[in-house]
Amino acid sequence: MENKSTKSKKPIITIAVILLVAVAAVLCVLFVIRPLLSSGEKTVTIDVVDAEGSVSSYEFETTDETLGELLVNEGIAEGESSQYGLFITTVDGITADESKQEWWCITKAGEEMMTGADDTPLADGDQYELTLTTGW
Amino acid sequence: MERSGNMERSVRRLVYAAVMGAILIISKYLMDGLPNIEPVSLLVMAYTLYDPKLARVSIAVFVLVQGLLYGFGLWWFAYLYIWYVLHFATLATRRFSSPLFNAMLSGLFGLAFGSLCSLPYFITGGAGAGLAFIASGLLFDLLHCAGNIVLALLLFKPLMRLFNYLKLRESQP
Repeated sequence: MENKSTKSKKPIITIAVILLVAVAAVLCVLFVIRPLLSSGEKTVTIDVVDAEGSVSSYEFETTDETLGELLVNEGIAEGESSQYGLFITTVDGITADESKQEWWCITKAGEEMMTGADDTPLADGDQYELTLTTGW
Repeated sequence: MERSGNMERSVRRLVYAAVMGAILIISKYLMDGLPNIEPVSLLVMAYTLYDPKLARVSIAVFVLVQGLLYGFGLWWFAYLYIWYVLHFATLATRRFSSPLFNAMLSGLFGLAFGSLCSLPYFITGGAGAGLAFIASGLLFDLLHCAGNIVLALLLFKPLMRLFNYLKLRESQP
């Protein structure tokens, strides 16, 4: 017959084993991706498209985690901090003129994005476009 | 007479839920300076074991106020479900509840926190963005795991004692 103390230890042993396996798995993954995390191997391309449609292309090797961080740290964009993150006003020295309903539209490889710059995590090989757009 | 008694009880429970939500918000704010050490996981577990319905309402209060305080960014959409994951995990395992068991449950939750939070990033940014989000947060997840375990080992027992005392008081006329 199973006594009470053995019975009550089973769930603790089970969850301890799950926890240990999970920690070991995370440590293994960290070991494998360590070079990526420590040396910031991400290469990110930013294309700036002005009102005339001229494109200036920039390529960055970065350890930054979000698009917002990269744009600010590399001096590509300036803006205001809002409760929704970075609101971009100036890119590559060009300031969007609100009176002309100008704004900076961010796209990823031509696709519209659902997130703001501060909420967009960077991955190696990412390509973004910042386009000066007229009309709300 | 009985109706007014029920009404009084409902109002009292609503106030309890609001206070419990406020404690989540304040305690998180007070510990914001410590890297990945947060009291919310411990409190969510304790609330769940004390009164699951009140726990669900207080989590909703907490999530809503966090959005109002810090903005409704992508992280906030993860908050919509992440604390309920811990709530239902605690509920499902409540018969095994003990300081050691819940410390490990909390640790497991801390370890999985980044992965659980990554869902909105997978949806909006694709697999690359989701995986990048998880990978960049793994070290913090390990810290979160350790922090949750230590906090629960220290405070789970006294918290449950307090909640048991409150339950006893409520049951008395």
